Amino acid sequence: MDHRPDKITLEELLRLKRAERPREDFWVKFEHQLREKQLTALLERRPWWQAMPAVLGRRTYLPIGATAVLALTLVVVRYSATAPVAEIRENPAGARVARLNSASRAPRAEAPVAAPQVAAAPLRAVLPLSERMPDRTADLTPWSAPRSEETPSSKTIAASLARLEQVEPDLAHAVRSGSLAGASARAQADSAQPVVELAGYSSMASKRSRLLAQLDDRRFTPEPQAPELVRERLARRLADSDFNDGFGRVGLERGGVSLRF
Amino acid sequence: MNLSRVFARTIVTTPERQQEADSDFAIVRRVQAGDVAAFDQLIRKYRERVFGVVYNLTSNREDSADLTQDAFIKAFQAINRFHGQSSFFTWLYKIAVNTTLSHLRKNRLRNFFSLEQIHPGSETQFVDELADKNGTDRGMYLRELQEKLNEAMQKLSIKHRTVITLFEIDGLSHAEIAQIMECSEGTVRSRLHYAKQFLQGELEKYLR
Repeated sequence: MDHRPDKITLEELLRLKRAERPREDFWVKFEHQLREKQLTALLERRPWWQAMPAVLGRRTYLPIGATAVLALTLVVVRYSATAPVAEIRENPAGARVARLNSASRAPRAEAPVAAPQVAAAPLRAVLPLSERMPDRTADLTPWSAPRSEETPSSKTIAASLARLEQVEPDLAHAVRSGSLAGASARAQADSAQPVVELAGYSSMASKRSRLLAQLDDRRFTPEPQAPELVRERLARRLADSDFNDGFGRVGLERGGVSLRF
Repeated sequence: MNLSRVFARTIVTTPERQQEADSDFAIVRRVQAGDVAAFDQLIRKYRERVFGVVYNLTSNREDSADLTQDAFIKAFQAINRFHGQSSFFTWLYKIAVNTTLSHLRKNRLRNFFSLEQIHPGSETQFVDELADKNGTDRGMYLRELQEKLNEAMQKLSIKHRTVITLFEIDGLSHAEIAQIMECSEGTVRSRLHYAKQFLQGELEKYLR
């Protein structure tokens, strides 16, 4: 009795494919053709892009690539770091202000990055404000009354001098020709540098110098008749560093000195 | 021994395969050193297996001969890039399969059979028994089975055909097929399962 079924499995059927083989003479022809192709492949010049995978695959080229990336990074970092310096050089005034600031504030070690931003602003804005009076910034603007304008105090003083001249001409002459130069010289010595150079000073020194400069501007020309004693006192008080921190504006009004705090 | 060689050893599992891979790598080293004639040993050793893979993928003996030769030429040209990351035959199979798949994609519409003769042997014994039992001529029955099988194979997609060819006909492992096809073993198993189901449906008449 035959127990084999009359059908087969898929695996058996697929194994049939293994038996599909060429005859021996096929391999002779195959080898001959392969030899010809091999020689042709050896002789023919391959396009350059076919050699790229081999070139890129070599381990010796990896350090070259890494070096190139490193060099590129250095160039980028160098040029990005020098950009603010170039900006400062384009603005000489700003550079000067930055230099003065750095000279006067060396112990405080302010960040150098702020220099170009400060340089672009007007000089008045560059001047450092008092840290103790941050809310009085507006009051610190210089008082710029015209020199030729006659103030009420000057009129009063002029009238007093006229009366004094009528009563005591010698005394009046002495007052008129009195040595205001002494007070002037002392005040000038105490006054600060020109306004531009004030930019480099500290907040307290710059404010004091600025106020003295204002006084120096209009001390003699608009009110030549002002009493010498008043001017001397004023100059002495303004020269006092403890005093000038408390007020923001100085003015002569009706024969007296007005201070605005 | 570098890491790629260690990895290759994990892929090549059986000792016979490992021994074969080592001897192949020694020959490859000679070719890389300039001994071009040593490559002929590799050609003679693998030409039938490579031809079998290509033939089972194309079902055309003339195309298979050309594609097998092209695969050997490519392997010879790229021999300096082989550093033993896998066994040589896996690397060669990969070149042959890729060459064949590229050819099949280019000539998708030009598809006709040119089948080899089936050599009698252990694989065809069951055909003799079946032909005797059914009272049909052996040659005709065998020819019919061959045509139906190749038709069903050609209905499979290229990837499914490749997987079932490498696994069932060439006897490669899942890991080796995954390495050749550059996919996971799970994908190989999945494709294999689908391909078998499809073939069973197509050849239902001849299968038990």
